[in-house]
Amino acid sequence: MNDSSESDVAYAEKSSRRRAALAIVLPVLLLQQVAFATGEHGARAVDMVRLGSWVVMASALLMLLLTGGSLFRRRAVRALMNDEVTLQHRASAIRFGFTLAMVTAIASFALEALRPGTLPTLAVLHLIVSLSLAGALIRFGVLERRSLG
Amino acid sequence: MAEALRNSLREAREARGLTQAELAARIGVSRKTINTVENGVFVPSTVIALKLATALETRVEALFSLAE
Repeated sequence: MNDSSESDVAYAEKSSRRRAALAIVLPVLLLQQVAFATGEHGARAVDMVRLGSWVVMASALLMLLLTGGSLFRRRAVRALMNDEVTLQHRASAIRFGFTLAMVTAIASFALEALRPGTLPTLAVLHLIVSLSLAGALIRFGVLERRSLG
Repeated sequence: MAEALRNSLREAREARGLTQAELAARIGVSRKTINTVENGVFVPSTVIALKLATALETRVEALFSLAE
């Protein structure tokens, strides 16, 4: 038997609720920048900062999706936060995100084939990453919230 | 196939006067796992099914059965 204390279970549940809320809210910040990436921008310092912050945020959200984001918590709490149900939700979210990435890439390819020069490469990459990552995280957050009751 | 599996986990847990959190702590899973198993949303692994049966002092077949 793999006993945990009731306080660990309560703490893990509180942390899981917070993680589910973050998984729904944070992608909105990522999606906000899609408008910036698809529009005109130059090589000014402010543009570089915005692009750099997007790279950092996208990397952090990817880590949250892949690891569960509870790396600094005790092992027992981490195990409770990443149990079988969570792993199933994460797998479902990643599958959803992958599907979104493929659909976005295919649509971008078709658009570029029909109307060359419509979307710059940077914008296409931004769209694929932002939409798939945001979609996967939101799905993860919704599934988690639903199961927490 | 979640819809093909029935379970009497809630009844067994309540018969022993345990809350979802207490049962979760006994077998080392989150309360979310107990909640989703009881609601038929999640089909647990064999390991969790065996742990549940041990914690509730019953057999796995008494907790889980295939729907007709």
